[in-house]
Amino acid sequence: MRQTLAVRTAPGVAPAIKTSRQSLFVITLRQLVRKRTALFGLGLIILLVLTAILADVIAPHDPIETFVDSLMAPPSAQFPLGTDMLGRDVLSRLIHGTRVSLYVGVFSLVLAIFVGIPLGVVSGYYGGVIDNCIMRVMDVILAFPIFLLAIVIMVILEPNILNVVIALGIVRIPIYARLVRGSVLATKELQYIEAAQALAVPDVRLLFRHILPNCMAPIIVTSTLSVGTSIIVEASLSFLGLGTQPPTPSWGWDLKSNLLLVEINPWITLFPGLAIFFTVLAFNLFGDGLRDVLDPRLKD
Amino acid sequence: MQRRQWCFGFLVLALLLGSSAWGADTPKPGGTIRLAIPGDMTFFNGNQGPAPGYNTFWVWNNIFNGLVTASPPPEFNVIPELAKSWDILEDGKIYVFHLVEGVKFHDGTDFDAEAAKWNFERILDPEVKSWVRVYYEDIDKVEAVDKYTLRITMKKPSVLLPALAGYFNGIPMLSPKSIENHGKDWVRKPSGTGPFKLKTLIPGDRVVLEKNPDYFKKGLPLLDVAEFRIMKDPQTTMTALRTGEIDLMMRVPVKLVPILERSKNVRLVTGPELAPAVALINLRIKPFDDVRARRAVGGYGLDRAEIAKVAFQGRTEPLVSILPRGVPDAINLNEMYPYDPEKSKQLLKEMGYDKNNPLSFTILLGNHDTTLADIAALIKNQMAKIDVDAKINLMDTTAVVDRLLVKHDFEMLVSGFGSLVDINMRSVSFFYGAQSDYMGINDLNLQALVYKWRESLDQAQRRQASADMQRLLADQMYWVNVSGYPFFQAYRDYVKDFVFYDQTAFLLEKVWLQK
Repeated sequence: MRQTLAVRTAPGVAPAIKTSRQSLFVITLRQLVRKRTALFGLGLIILLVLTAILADVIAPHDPIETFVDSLMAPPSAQFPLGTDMLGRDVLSRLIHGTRVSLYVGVFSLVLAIFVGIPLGVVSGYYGGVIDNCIMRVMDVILAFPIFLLAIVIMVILEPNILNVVIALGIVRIPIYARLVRGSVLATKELQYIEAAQALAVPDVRLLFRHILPNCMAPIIVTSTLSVGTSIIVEASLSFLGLGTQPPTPSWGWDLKSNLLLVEINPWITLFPGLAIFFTVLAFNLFGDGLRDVLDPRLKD
Repeated sequence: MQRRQWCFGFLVLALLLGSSAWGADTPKPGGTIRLAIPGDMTFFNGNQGPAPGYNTFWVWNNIFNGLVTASPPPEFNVIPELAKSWDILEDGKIYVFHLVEGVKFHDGTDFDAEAAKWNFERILDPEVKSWVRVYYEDIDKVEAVDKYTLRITMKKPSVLLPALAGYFNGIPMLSPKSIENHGKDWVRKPSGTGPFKLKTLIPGDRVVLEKNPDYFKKGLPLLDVAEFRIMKDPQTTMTALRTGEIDLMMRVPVKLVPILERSKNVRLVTGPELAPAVALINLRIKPFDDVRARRAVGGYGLDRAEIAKVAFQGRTEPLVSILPRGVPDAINLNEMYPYDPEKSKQLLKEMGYDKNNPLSFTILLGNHDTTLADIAALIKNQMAKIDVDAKINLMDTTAVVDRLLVKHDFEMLVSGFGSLVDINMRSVSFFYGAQSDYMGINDLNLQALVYKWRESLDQAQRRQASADMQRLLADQMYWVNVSGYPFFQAYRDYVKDFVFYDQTAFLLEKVWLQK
């Protein structure tokens, strides 16, 4: 992104933020439509979002309703993907499970961004003791594997969706803090920042109006890639009984609770597994495409 | 001549076949049995301290012996073990045990009346904090009359033998010398009189037992080695059993039963349930201190038949009585609480609860067993039908155990519970403020019935007291059972003479391998 902007602005002159944002968006979109895999990912994401929004309308049954006379029924007209051990419609649970997955994926990201970015900006811009303090705390969090830390947090908090969001948000804060810090360290050395400092632009305005917008590209790429990871971790936490509470539909829990039946009724576990697979694939393909477009090093 | 030769040939063949057929059923000594155990083993304390959990308990069953033991279910008769006989004097005030002579502990020291006395006194010592002490509080004193005679005097005439025989291995006999020698580490270096000795203990991995060549039962055990492998994932364990990597799976989840039922070369065993699936209600918390709320939620509002059919695939039956159907004294009380949502609503309405002002509570359960989540999900749906709002709180099992046993912090708890041999085994939960008082039952009539049971040497009288307790518990909905919790074990067909004890014991002394 910095390279893209540098082409469009004279050296040492502050970029016209509004114009460059529009340009970035248009350029990105234009290049993105040429990447079929990214478009496929975007299409799937749009489909998932629509599914989540319209779940109540399109799901053929209540996802927690039990049909006692149709336990572990194979796919049929009444139950297109069959029923699980409790006689619940697998398709309806998949559709409603989309909500949980996207909710966790997106909101944990929002939490991580809203805490991680300001920390990274402050750390990178001011440096010194502040930088050291913030980064050492981030290092401590980063020292733990994401999944392990999420488990620890979930054991401390009570398992429910909101706490899953909090746990996944917390474990991702350092990723954004470090990412933004690196970008800020590079950006603050540019001449237009020096010029803004010479004009006594207040720090807050300088940070959030002039520096941060120029660090957005890596944040966008990392965010799209991390949504997929969050969905997997949510599914894994639910799989361990530390995430979404039954009978709320969750792909991870449905996978766990029916895993022992995979040999006699494979569809019960197959479909939640495929849902996780395609959702993560969608976000990864889209994220990869964005990275290709936004990362100047990959353009060369 | 040729005909005669043919006849002779047939005779030899018949004899060979006959002998091989006879040989097939003749116990063959030697070999190593590989057993999959679903959790880690903790401490081999022989009940001299906190409860060890079934996994450890099943291993130590083969290291320790008690004075008496129980025959396999469903009879659970008291049979001799380290005591070859006993006398009950003064209507149950005095018990005299005549011990088997010449028995040695694994560490080479003698088992005698002094050692037995020491073990009894350890269990009774409050400092030891034995979790089974509550069963033996009626013991007044223990004396070694001579080297092989032990005399136990009760405070009042009381029943003692069922507890010694069937309640979690009774009072296992440990070597006093071994505990003295190993200091704090004694729980990891157990020395009993049992058929096997501990050879290797690798926490999180395996426990290996080796044959005790000096076992007091001549000719036993038949196996050389018993290797307990910790295998927590049931799917992996099942595959290992089917491929012959292990010989016996000590706990088979109900969901795997349909697969193992049709697996070749694998035998699946079970029996009438001794353990229940419970939906315990905490009487300490309002509105469950009111019997109407308990009857509405845990009585008429529970569709037990649906839970038995769905969560357990119809492999168990609905259960209202505190005693599952496999326990000898169990009586069927299902007719007391037929599924009747309207009656539940009526009871709740009397208490001021309805659709606009619903009774709400949380169902607590652990994450170790997905069947529990299935039960909880069904209960939640059933509660919705009587306008009750039930939330599910699935937590790490250790936290759940803490909330149940220590903090009593729950409204409803869905869980599997331990196997029982009689109602007295569960009666430790019927005394308000006692260590195992989970729900806060405070009923003097119930306590009187427990004492009546304990003081009745006549089995018919005990059965009557047991039936009265079961009716009282169900009437007041003090203890909410949902259904039985079927227990399954599976083993390769070359494992012979394995006797199924449900969860109450796991004995390998007569087991042999036909391979």
